[in-house]
Amino acid sequence: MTDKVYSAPPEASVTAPADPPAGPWYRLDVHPWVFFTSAAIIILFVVLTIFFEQHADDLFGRVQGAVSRYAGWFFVGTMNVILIYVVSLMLGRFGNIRLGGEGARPEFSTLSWFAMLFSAGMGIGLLFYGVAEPMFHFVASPLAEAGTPEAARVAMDFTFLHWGLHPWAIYALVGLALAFFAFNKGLPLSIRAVFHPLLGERIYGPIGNVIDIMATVATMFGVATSLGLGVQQVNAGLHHVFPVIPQTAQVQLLLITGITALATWSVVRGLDGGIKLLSQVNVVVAAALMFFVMLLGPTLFIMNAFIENIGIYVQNFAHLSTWNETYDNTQWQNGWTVFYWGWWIAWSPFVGMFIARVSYGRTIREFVKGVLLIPTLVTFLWLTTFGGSALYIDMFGAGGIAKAVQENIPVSLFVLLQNFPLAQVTSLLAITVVITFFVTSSDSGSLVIDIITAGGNTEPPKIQRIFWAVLEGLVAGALLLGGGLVALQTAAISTGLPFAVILLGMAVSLHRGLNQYQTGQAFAVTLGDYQGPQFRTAPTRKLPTFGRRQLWLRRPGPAVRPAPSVGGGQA
Amino acid sequence: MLQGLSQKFRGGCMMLVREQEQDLSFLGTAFLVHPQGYLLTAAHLAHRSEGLHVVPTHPNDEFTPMTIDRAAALAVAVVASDTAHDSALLRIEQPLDIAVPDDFLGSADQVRTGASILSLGYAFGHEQLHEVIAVGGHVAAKIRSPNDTRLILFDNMVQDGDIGGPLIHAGDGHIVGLVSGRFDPTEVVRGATDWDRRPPHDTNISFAVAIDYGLELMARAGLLAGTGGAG
Repeated sequence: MTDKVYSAPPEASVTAPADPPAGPWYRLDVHPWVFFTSAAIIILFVVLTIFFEQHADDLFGRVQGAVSRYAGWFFVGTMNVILIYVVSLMLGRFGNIRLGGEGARPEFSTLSWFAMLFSAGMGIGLLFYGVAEPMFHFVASPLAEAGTPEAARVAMDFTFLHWGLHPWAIYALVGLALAFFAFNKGLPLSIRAVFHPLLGERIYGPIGNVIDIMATVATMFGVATSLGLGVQQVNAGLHHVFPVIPQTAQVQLLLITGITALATWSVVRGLDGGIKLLSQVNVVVAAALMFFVMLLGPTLFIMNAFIENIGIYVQNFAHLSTWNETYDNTQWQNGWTVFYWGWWIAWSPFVGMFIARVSYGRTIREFVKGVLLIPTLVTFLWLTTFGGSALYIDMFGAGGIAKAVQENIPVSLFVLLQNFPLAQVTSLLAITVVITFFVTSSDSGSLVIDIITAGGNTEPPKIQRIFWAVLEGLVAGALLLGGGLVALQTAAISTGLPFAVILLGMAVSLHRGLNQYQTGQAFAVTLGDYQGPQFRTAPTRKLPTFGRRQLWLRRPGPAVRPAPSVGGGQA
Repeated sequence: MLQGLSQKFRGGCMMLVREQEQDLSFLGTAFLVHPQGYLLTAAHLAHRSEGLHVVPTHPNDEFTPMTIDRAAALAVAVVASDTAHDSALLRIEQPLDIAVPDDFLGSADQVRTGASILSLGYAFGHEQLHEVIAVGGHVAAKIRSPNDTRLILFDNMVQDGDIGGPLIHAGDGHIVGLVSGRFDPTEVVRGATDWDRRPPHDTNISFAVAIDYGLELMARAGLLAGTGGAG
């Protein structure tokens, strides 16, 4: 017998960073049902939406309205349940389980890991809503008189609520469940795998296909509509900074082409080559922008506000996170909190999958800290820097931000930057950040769709990567020209409701899986109607001798020290 | 945590005995690894296959008589044996209704020095204590023996009856080793010509061979496809 037996742990052999795919370039590796059905549904939806834009708008708008009105409480409840569950995972007895088994080592350094998490998770919205959202709440607050210091506090508090622990808890749950079932239990890296403890082998059947197709379609529409809508915002911003650039469909199509090209390049180069690099660039540029604003803006105010905002968030946490405007009898929440919850949940398969893919080798405790706490803190700093500066200008400075926000959300960022020195530099930085955020959302979205439609292969062939990245750009472009971006985004957010149910099932399933993994299930031998003979037991009078075990027989040849490590080393 | 592990695994531990003229002579411990009645044990215990039987444990955690006078024993056959790495695969010859957890097989690569472990075995089976003894400890070292076998040293003082039992990694809840005996440093140097000092004999360090050798036997018997994610 050689030493090479099981040199990799059995679990890890399934998932260890895969080898580059072999074979000719046109080789496909697809799950036929998921791949072709998803592609067909996506194209069908896009065509129908373009042709019947008005009807689609109406229909999806009404569905979304009904979902938020009647299921708002369910979203609010679900978000809290999941947050509590994720925190309990961090503190509880499963914290030491390592994704990929104890021998697994992280693929990425903590810093690049974090950069990728952040770039995929929040992305573009943070840039625009960082300025706009506190201003919206400041001028129209459901819980305070508009324009007062109290309104400012409440405004930051709501913004923190919407961008804070809850969304990251959703991502953490989905990411953890996917990573655990793929890396520790050797199932394919796709949403269906998570339900193995509940559905058993049926996950490979039609139910599993439906789950994966839903995830694929929701991801595609989420990413593509964000791309389409975001490009309009980028165009508006560009026009504001450089009036020579017109706001036309041509410019926007050019932007989509450019972003798609970059994203395609990045996906084809893979996680290590493209996506990691762009995420790092993205985070570095975003940090530069934030520190620029922090230094050039009201630095002291921002620092004060950062601490105070966290305090307010903690203080009101239970109140705001369970607030359902029951006794206020208003409809404010549907447009904000419930909308956000639906949005995060609809995005969770995508972000969660991506987080899972990059988190191999982390322990559950590390994972939750890294996905829940650190991004939340950084988001808070970002929101305080941009939202706080906006509030400062409106309350103590030149004013005008509130008006800009209400007229045009994307421009408000640039209006804010104009209030500080070096506006040209910071505006350029801001545009760069916008574009890199786009590319990183787009490439990670394509990678996720690639993995799901390849039946869980974490390194799908290049031609498939190109297909999905390009399709994403095409969908965005088609919707931009033909109309229907808003309609499809609304539709994507409405899928938050079925996904919220799936998420709760996911928590149950994950818990069962973790429990079975560590303890929980037991061996049981049922003798039943065994009628065999019974024997007398007896003490051993003379201990048996077995001779010298072969373990201690030296192998022929000189002993080398230190022995070359074959097989027993790092998994 | 060790409590949960003990609950999980004690039902899988069996006494390995040899039947001789209606008497059972105790040999050591074996543990279930497959719902079709396969067990792993130390190869040196099962070097002769005639009369080999196993006696299942009772799975509950009540106070039970320490000795049983008569025991129902199930005949086992040696399916495969790897004497170089002291691992053997046995099969219960009659069909039984056996449930195993979804996940319980690990790899010695997945345990690190200092990790909490649990060893289970019929420590005092030779003395007729017919009860699984659970002992918690830590991984003391991971070494290669002179014949290049991967060994896990741990700081439980295993007894003769523990041999063949599972070594369980507390963090993952997976079996990572197969208990092979008390670690005796003189074994290592015996035969060296320049050795004449007798070292102290009774170390509190024991050793287990990596479970991977047992898994290799299972893989060759075609058993690793259907046991959850372990294959």
